[in-house]
Amino acid sequence: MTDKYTDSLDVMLADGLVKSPDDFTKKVMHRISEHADIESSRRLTTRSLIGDYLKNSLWPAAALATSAALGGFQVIAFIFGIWIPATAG
Amino acid sequence: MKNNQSMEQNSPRKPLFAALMSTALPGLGQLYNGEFNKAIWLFLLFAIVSVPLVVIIALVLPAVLTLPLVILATLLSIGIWVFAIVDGWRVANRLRDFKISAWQTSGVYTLVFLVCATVILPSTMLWVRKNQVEPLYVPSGSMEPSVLKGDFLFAQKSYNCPNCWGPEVRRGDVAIFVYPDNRNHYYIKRVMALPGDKVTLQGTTLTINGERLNTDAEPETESLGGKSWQVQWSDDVPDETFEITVEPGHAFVLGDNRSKSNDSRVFGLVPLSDIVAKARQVWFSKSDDGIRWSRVGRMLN
Repeated sequence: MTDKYTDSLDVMLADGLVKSPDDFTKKVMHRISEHADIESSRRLTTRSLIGDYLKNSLWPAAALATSAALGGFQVIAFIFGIWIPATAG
Repeated sequence: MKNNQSMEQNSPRKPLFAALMSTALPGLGQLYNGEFNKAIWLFLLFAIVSVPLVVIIALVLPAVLTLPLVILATLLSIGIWVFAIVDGWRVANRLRDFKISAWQTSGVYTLVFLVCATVILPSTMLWVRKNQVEPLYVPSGSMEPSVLKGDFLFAQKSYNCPNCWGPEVRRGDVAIFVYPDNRNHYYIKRVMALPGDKVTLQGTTLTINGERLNTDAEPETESLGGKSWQVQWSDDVPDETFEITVEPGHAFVLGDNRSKSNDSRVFGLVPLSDIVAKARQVWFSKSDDGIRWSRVGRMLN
């Protein structure tokens, strides 16, 4: 049985908490808590691997570019629809 | 706590995404940037104020202003579109610390795009063309010299409709109607007589209810109801007599190019309900010799 005051851990704890810098929470803890939520809840599965691939590859950009082109055609059709003539013989 | 943190995670906006989304639909990029109110107003300005509202205003004002106002409406809608793209980019560029909301998901953007771009915009333009103004191309010379082959004109659709505020059919109107022998085609002719009128055409002399329309002016001109217009006859018009009394609910129409017109003398009377528009103004004209700039802006009624 050890003396509680001779145990090195007890000595450290008895000294009290270390004072952290003022911006410690903003710089470190915030980022740790962000990553902890993501990393701790994830499991590597085929689905998550596919999801990572789709998110990090060119697919979102390609989908967006295609949508922009299709939407752009619709917008142009609306703008110039008043100029596309029917025929009156 | 965990769900709140995931809803409020920092997700810097990408300027290229915002610009491309506004390219697809004005206001969608603003939605991506979290500017909900601006997104709605931009879309409303684009979809309702630019083309539809200006076109309706054009119909209230004199016909000579139709072409300038339609040009203005087109430029306004292009301007709103470009503004939405540039504004989406610039605002996204500033949003480096952006807390994304729960509703800002790809599903919401897709739904908004589908509803607005594929339903609202096409429906709005169809409504404008069906009920307000429709552009028409005239491929025949049956209405020369008033309307030339190769003329592009704006026609007022709020015409001859009981529940709208537009004018009624009047004698002398250059009207567009559904061709009786093929209801998939429009024809353009001049309304000469309304229900109850007696029409007599002897040679080149036209009388409506005993009133002679031909004047002594050269080139050959007819006058009716305060309007006058030139007509064309070939040199070999047979001296035949054509008479008809217009039945209730119908109109008698003739082309101004009398010798080269397929009109009521051939296909009979036109039901008034088939008269769908009134020619308003020429906005472009081309022939085999080139563009006829002198006809651009010419009024027709």
